[in-house]
Amino acid sequence: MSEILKCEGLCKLYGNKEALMDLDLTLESGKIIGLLGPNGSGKTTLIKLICGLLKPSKGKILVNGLEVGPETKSIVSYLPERNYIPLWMTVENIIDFFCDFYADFRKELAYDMLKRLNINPKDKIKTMSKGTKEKVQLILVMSRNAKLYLLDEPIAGVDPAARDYIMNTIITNYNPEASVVISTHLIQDIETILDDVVMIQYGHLRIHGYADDLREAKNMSIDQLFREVFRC
Amino acid sequence: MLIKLIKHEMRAMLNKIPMIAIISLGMALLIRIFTLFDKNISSIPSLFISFMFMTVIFVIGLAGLNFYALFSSVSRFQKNLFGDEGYLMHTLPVPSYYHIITKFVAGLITYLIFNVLTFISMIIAFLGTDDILDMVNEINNAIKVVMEYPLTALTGFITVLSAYCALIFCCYTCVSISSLVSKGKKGIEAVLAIASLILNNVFITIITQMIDSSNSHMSIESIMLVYALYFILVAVGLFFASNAIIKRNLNLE
Repeated sequence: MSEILKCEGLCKLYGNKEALMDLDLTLESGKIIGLLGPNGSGKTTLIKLICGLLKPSKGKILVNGLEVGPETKSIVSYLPERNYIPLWMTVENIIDFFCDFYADFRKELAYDMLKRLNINPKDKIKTMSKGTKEKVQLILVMSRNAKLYLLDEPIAGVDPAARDYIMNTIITNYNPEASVVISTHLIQDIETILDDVVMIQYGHLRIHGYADDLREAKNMSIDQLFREVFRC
Repeated sequence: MLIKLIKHEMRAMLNKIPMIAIISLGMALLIRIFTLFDKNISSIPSLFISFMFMTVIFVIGLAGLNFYALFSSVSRFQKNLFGDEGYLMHTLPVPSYYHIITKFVAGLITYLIFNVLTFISMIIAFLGTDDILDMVNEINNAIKVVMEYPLTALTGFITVLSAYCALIFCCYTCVSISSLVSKGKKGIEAVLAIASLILNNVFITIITQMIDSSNSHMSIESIMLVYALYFILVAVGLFFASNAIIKRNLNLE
């Protein structure tokens, strides 16, 4: 399997505060990877660095062998933990926007998912509930045929039924040759679908390995391992 | 990609224009209707005061439209690139300077639209049929004068335009620099804006003194071109500065 992501000696400082320190990480394509860690461990910072929303203080990031830039952004599909769609837009507007900028965007798939969720494409983002906005964003992100999906806390703050829908959308719509990085601390909900696990704490890599190997070696579930590693 | 970005940016900017157009044209029409009953208004003090008050507000509003054009362009730059929408914009597969060019072009077009709107509102509010004919004659005369001195008019236009461009890029740079810090962004923007205005005045004074002290008699066109060149250099320099900040130090915490 080819490397989709490679981080070498990655550091990120916010002023004097260390968010990531000397992180070395390699991810292979074709996998669903759980990026796990407690709050403030550096998960979001790592994802933002890969997307190019932050610049590293030190170290290197290669996405599909390329430094972060317009080329890598065309193959990375990113779901942030906040609403990033301009409120004045309608769902139709934002779909047109994605069609214009991402060659890999599958418009029919997006409309199909909207129909299944009973979301009117003519509705304005401004008039939608928080949950519906999140669903629209997820539809946009998963309608792309990207090589790397970065999902930052996709199931945080939603009800269990919506979680099921979100997980189902991710599993059924991602490109099987691509990698999906899911950042969360709600491990129970995603444990069954994970191929790889990356655990970080205080900006340092704590554990990286195949989910099955970790379960076997430690004789416990990933959720139990998480509680063990990050016990307060 | 750049054209597509400009298309979407114009869609966002034009979103606000219909409401502003309705308000300004509506007020202009009201003033026009009041003016038709000029004699009756003068005899009723409360109506006359209301009319005067509305006219003052209208004129101030029209003058403020140009400031609003600049403000909305800078506000879009800040919100769209450094606010939550920045998460969408900076993950697009386009180089960072595309975003700056897009905001700049859309800002200039909005400025132009607001000027046209101001012009139309003034005609509706204050000019009668005869006045319009007079005005057409005046415009014709003005065009004749301009045609006699085309170079002066052209250099004047270039100077004004380049000064506006320098002002927009100065605001963009202030916003870009303030994005580097986590707290007190507004304060930093204000300090930077004041500092750059002072610095600009110093440079303008130096250029003026250099022109005054030079023995050669420069034509008015040459003097305006010197100022235009200064503004263009400032605008280009600030464009590169903004781009360097976004490209190398983007910090969407």
